Amino acid sequence: MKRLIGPQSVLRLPSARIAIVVLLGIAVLTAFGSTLAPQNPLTINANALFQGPGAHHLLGTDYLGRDVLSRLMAGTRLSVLTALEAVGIGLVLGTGPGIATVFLGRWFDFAANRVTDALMTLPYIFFAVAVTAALGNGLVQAMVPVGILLAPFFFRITRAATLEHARAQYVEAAELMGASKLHVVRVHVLRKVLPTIAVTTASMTAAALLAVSFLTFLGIGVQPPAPTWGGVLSSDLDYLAQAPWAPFIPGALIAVTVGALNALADAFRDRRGAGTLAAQPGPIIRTHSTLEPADDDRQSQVA
Amino acid sequence: MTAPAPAPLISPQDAPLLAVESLDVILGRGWRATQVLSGVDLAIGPGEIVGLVGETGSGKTTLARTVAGLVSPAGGRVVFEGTTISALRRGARRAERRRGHLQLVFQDPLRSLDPDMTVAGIVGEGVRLQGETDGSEIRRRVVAALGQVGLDDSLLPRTPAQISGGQRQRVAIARALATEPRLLICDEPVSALDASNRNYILRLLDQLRTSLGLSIVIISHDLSSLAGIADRIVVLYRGRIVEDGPVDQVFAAPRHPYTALLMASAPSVRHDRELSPQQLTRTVAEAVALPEDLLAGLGGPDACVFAPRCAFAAAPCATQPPLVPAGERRSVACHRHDEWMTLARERAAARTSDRNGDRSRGRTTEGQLA
Amino acid sequence: MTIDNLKSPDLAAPHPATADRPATAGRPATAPSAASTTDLLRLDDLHISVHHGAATAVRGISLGVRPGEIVGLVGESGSGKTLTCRAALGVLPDGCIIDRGSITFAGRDLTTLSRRGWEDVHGSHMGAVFQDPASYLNPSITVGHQLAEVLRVKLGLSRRAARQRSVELFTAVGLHQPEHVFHQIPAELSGGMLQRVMIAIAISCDPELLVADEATTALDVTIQAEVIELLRRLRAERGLAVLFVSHDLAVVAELCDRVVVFYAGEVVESGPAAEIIERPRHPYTQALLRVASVGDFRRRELEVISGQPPQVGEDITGCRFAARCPAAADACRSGPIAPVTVDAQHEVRCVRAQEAWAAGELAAR
Repeated sequence: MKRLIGPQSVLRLPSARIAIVVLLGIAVLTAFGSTLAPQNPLTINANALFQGPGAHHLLGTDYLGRDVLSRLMAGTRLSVLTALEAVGIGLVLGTGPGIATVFLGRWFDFAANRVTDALMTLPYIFFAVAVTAALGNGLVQAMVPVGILLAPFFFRITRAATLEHARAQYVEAAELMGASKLHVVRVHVLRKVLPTIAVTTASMTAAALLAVSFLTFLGIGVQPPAPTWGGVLSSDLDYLAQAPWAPFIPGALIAVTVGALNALADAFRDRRGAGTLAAQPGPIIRTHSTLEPADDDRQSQVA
Repeated sequence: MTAPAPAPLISPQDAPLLAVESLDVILGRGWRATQVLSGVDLAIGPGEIVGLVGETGSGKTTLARTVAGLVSPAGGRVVFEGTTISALRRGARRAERRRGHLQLVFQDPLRSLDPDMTVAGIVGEGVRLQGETDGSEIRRRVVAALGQVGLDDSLLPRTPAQISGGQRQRVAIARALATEPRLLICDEPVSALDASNRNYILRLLDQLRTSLGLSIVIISHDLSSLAGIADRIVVLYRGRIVEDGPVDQVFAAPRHPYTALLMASAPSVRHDRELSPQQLTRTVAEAVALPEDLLAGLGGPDACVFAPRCAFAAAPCATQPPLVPAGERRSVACHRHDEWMTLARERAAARTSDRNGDRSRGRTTEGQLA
Repeated sequence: MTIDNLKSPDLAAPHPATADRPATAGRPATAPSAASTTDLLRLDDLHISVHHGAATAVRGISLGVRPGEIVGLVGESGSGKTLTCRAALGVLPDGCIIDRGSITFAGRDLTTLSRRGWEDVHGSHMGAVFQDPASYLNPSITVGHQLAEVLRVKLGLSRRAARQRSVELFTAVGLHQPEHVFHQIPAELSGGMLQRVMIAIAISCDPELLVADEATTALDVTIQAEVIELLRRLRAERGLAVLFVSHDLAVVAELCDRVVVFYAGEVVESGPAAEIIERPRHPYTQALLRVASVGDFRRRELEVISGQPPQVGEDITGCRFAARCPAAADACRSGPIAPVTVDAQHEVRCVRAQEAWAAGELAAR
């Protein structure tokens, strides 16, 4: 049975292709947004307040006459990078223990699970506020607690995936040959758990991006007048009467990016295929009389 | 519940390669705990092929896993090449395993081989774990091991999905051979294969025993295929050894009713078996005919493990019989081991005359079995 | 590993494994074709293709099951035996089509049967048991209720009557303490007991034919013997005909009245079981006998069959076994080989066997 794994198979899904295109665009903006922006995002123009989309300002202007398109393009870097920062923290704090807990015995697992449970009950907004109050108002500082609170998700998902593979018979066979737990992880388990980690990372990036947008919307971590997606959305909502179309623009940007990340995660998960050969259904005893390679796929259809 | 020490099956000057002594294994915890093995004694000598026979629930797989060290015994010990390996832990156990003198071959190569690894990686894993780092030396040993099972190095870059079922099992055996073991334990190595492949692999194991001086324990539920190559047969029932002896003697004249039941149940193209399975098991009709207290005694926790099913169970069978010598290098655990066969023949003769009478009346005499 | 029998001219000599059996007296005259109007199930020249017509997996199968007869289909994986019995049951997998031929059951043509027709046939006329009983039972409902459900739906019995009948059926299939078993879920029962439950369900509506596809393959040997004995008893008590499919020749020989040997989608030999075991004429059957567990408990040379069967649907001119047959001659590869009757109701699809038999006949006269 052919197993489709890896990036090349994901590209067969049209949703994945669209998502990748969108995310590539966001990546470009993250790197070069400020330089690519048609106008200076900080320039105030009192004569061009609340202009709708037009020739000079493709997405219109905000309450200070600043070009919206440029603000969003410039703001991409901060939003995306801090989201990635949070995901990075979560990944590092979560996946390592998630794999290790399967091999370090019952007590460690119990303790790790209780810590995870505790962390999952905490709301990130309050922690972000607390951290910025203590360490100063900055998005970088504010995303640290978000990262810490993403770790439990990485932990749980990685742990579940590792458990499934750690009980495989080939792992037992390796242990019988004297393999240490590290060897088992390195040689047998890691390769099989990476796809799950990749899927989780995509989903968590979407969540982190939403968190960033929400925090900046609330004004936490924002150093005005630096543009952020959530900040633009927030100020747009203040002036809804004058420019009712305005919030849709940053809102759409956030939604499309988050959607693309989730679509990519879904596509990758669906295409991962079975983790082991023995996952195929069929008769228990499958007898083959050949001593040469057989076309297993066709044999199973007929026998 | 310690059984008296059995007479040694191997003469004192042959130090056994593997000695299992009074092994008790309990699986599960708390109220779910069950005793899977009780007082198992087994000795394997160098260059011997021993067939371990048992059905579902006999504990044969648990025995293999306990010897290999995957399960810790509740009582007794396992001694391999003079070391009590059942007492080893962690680092010492890993070091012992890395020596590679004791290897296990699992039943289903689809599960025991990593589907993402190549044949070269799979067979070489043990060698690498022994500390060998020289790539060409690893490859040499991998190719040698594959050669011993009749596979050539064209298979090296393939994954398990890309080779046939028979080849997969041979790769599993090659993996075990790569570390140059002294003892191979094969848990149902051929159950998932058809007759021709089965015979091929059993013959292969026989050849390996001769060419490498390997000792092999083959665990199976199929007596007939073991008969082809085993030197000795050990019969396991519900966690106890009920019979142990040289294969030709055991099959010519089984001393335990369960062994005879296994032989009688084996499908045969010749309908020439002396006793049928029905004659060796107790039917419900016969059970009802027994006195109440005897029946209760036979079903009690201290009774012989086979008593609930045995057609010849009597009063002494309410206590578990010890494994006693019954001939040269043979032992059996049965109170009535020297008389049940005669009894069976007498009953068979009586039943034939009954059945002839019944047949004329158009009735069958089969009872109900669990 | 060679098939020596075929090299000697007297192919009609008894098989070495049964040399100590008294030879059957004489050889009856050539019997007429095996097609009989009293057949309960009749397959004629059945051709089945798989993968939506890409390959023909079953070619020209003809066999019949008479009422109360136990017929065994034996062959390797991919030989077409499972596909054949699934066609007879009307449960062919997706992509498999009956190209040619007919399947008749008690005079009814099964190849053109409607869904309604099949609902009538299934259970009331044909029952089936397969290899892994646990996967055919709902794990969360007691086995008694699963059987009772069948009775209520198919026979319209009341709840109480269905329960009573279920217990009777459990008794009939040899389950110990049937009242207790009624209330147990599949997880609480052993493999042998579950297979008995499946047999009870299969015979619950008194079918005339039971199809057993590798029904005993996954069972312990003692339980397998009990289930085989059960099937014999059901035949004796109810006149149940059985179509028994297995890759194990020994089990088939043990149980069946007639044996049909499959190879690469064709029937290569068929006949009474005793006859096939004593005088196997096709080289493949002889090879199967050599590798099968023949109830031989002596230390012996373990035989293998060298080579491999052809790919499913592979186009081969002439005998499909010729590539592996040590006695193959040019005549074997020139064109299609038709089955020929030798002895009583014993058919062989083999040019060399036919020659040897004819020579033997000539010598006997």
